[in-house]
This record gives sequence, structure tokens and C-alpha cells, in this order.
Amino acid sequence: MQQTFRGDLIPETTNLSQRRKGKMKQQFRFLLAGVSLIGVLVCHAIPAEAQVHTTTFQVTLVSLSITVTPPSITLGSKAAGATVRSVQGGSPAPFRVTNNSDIDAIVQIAGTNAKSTSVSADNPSWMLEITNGANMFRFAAGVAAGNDGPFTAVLEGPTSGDTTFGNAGPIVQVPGGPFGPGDSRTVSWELVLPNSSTKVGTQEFQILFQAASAT
Amino acid sequence: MVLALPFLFMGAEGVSAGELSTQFVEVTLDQVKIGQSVRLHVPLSITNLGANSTRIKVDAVTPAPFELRDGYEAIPDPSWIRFERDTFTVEPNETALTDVILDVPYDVAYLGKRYQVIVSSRSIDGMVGIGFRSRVLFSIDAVVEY
Repeated sequence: MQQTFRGDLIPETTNLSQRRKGKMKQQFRFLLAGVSLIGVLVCHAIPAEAQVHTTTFQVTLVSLSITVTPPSITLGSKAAGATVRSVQGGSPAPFRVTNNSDIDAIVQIAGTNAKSTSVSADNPSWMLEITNGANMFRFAAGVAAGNDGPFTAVLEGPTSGDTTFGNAGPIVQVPGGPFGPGDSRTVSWELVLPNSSTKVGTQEFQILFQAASAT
Repeated sequence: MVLALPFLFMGAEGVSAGELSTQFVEVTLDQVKIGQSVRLHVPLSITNLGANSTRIKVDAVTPAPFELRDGYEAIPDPSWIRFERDTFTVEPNETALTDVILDVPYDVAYLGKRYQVIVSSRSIDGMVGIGFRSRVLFSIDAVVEY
């Protein structure tokens, strides 16, 4: 169920000049209250310009809920240049994304928080492809200097998604459009390891699924 | 030459990606004044419906073009949005709240503008993170009060 609330918002603070004005406005409001009372008693005359200007708000309350499995994938040691793919019904398993809300939801994918040891920081070539049917997303993860923090990534290959970078890296929508209430989809992926002797080490990062209202 | 590349996705085995829920999906503010700070009427809430406690990180981020509502442009600086706390832990079946505050700089260049910012919330433990991209839409009053 969706509920929408509207109302006036009370400012938390204003800058100094605004505060002075606010104080004057408050004093004026008290004066106005007195004048209004007299006005009501006498002639109901309240000047239109005396109305207090307020900020209004509107909040749409819905419950947006998402589940993603599996929670963790450990691939172990792989050869340089190797490609690892998710296997339906096998291991490693593809992601399963479910919209548990009663509203349509867009689900976006981003890679974030690369961490690595003994991995060259100046030659990004980690690849993660996330596929869904005929669509394919490829994240090429460049390890940031210091090996911590959002990795820079580019989106390659055939895609229907948007390649705009978010603060946490590129974000793309899971193909197939919005998830309807209760919709569950499999998101396959493919990881291409760098074919370089400078990339020996452990690479860790997080794949982030985020839901947003599609309405 | 074939080299062994120990490759480990982040996250301990057994840590559930779980399920998160929020009611902070979209908030609209009208006629905010330049130089004004407003505390959003509804706090950002994250409910952990999973079986394990989850650490949540909250950020304000610039929306991608495809995320923009008609008539709104991306916020000039996401730092206009502050949170009472930006990292917290949510236990299973519990809800964590944080206030969201909007600070609009005092600059006449912003008069009459309509901006959108994304409030990004996400679990930061585990290889698979989940979260939300909530919309905050606001219009700035076109008039300066003297």
C-alpha cells in the first residue's frame, strides 16, 4: 500500500541573515496573531502579504525490499587470464535477485570497494561480466592507488544499460526492465582474470545491488 | 606462463546478503529557501529482514541521468545533504533510523531551481551488497526574502 503525506516543513536553521529575518518574522507573527485576533473581532481583515511563507514537503511511504543470493562467492586460485563463469544449478552460482515489495522496482548493479594485495595499481584489467539473457555487462575494474576505495570501472560490450558512473563506480540496470512485485530473476556473470604476471595476489570487491522505485 | 591468482570475493562464508527494506523511497520538498537548512520530515529507515546483523553505509550521490525525474536536474553538490549518522549496524528484524538534513547554500544562482539527489544506502559487509537508491527532490524558492 502506498501512502502520500503532505505538509509544512519547519526549517532547522538558517544562515545569520536568515535567522534575523526569521526572528523578525516570528515577532511579526506574534504581532500578526494579535492583529488577527482584533481583526477577527472587528473586521476579519488580515493583509494577504502577512501570510507566513513555508516550505512544503511530500513523502511517499512505500516499502521497498530486495533480496539477493548467494551472499558470498569464493573462487580460490585461478590461472592468469582465466575466465570464470557462473553455472546455473552449479557452482559458482549466478545471482538471484528478488523484489519483495508491492511496487515496481528498478535494480541496479555496481562494483565497489576494490581491495587487493600484491596487485598492480596502474594496469587495470580485472573484468567482471554480468549477463542476463542476451544482454551482457562487463565491468573492467581498475584498482585504485592505495588499493582501497571505489575502483574505477568502465562498461564494455553489448549493453542496454547506462554507462554513467555513480559515486561507487558505474551503475547499470539489471536487464529486463523494472521488477514487478515478487519478481525474481537470475543474473549470470563472467569474470575475466588479468593475463599478467603483475596481477598475482588476492582481489576482493563487492558487487552491489540497489533497488529504486520504478514509479 | 600460467600464474596462480588466488582470487577471493569479499565476504565470509555464511554471512547472508539477506533482505533489506526501506520506507524512504522518495521525498519531495517545495520552496526551500537559499541559505536554509531543513531536516527532512521522515528519517531514512533501513529494516534488516535477514538473519544476520548488517552494517549500513549511507551517502548522498549525484543521480545518473537516467535516474532524473522530469523537470529536475542533478544536485550541484551532494554535500548539501547531511546525515545524523552515515554508518550504522542493524540487527535482524530491527530498523535503524537516521535524520536527513538538506543545506541549501545562500546563492541567488540557485533561485527557482529544481534539484534531485540520490540517497544511497547499502550493506557494506559481504561480497554481495544490497541497498537502495532513494530519491530526494526539492525546489528552491524563486524569491529572496528581504
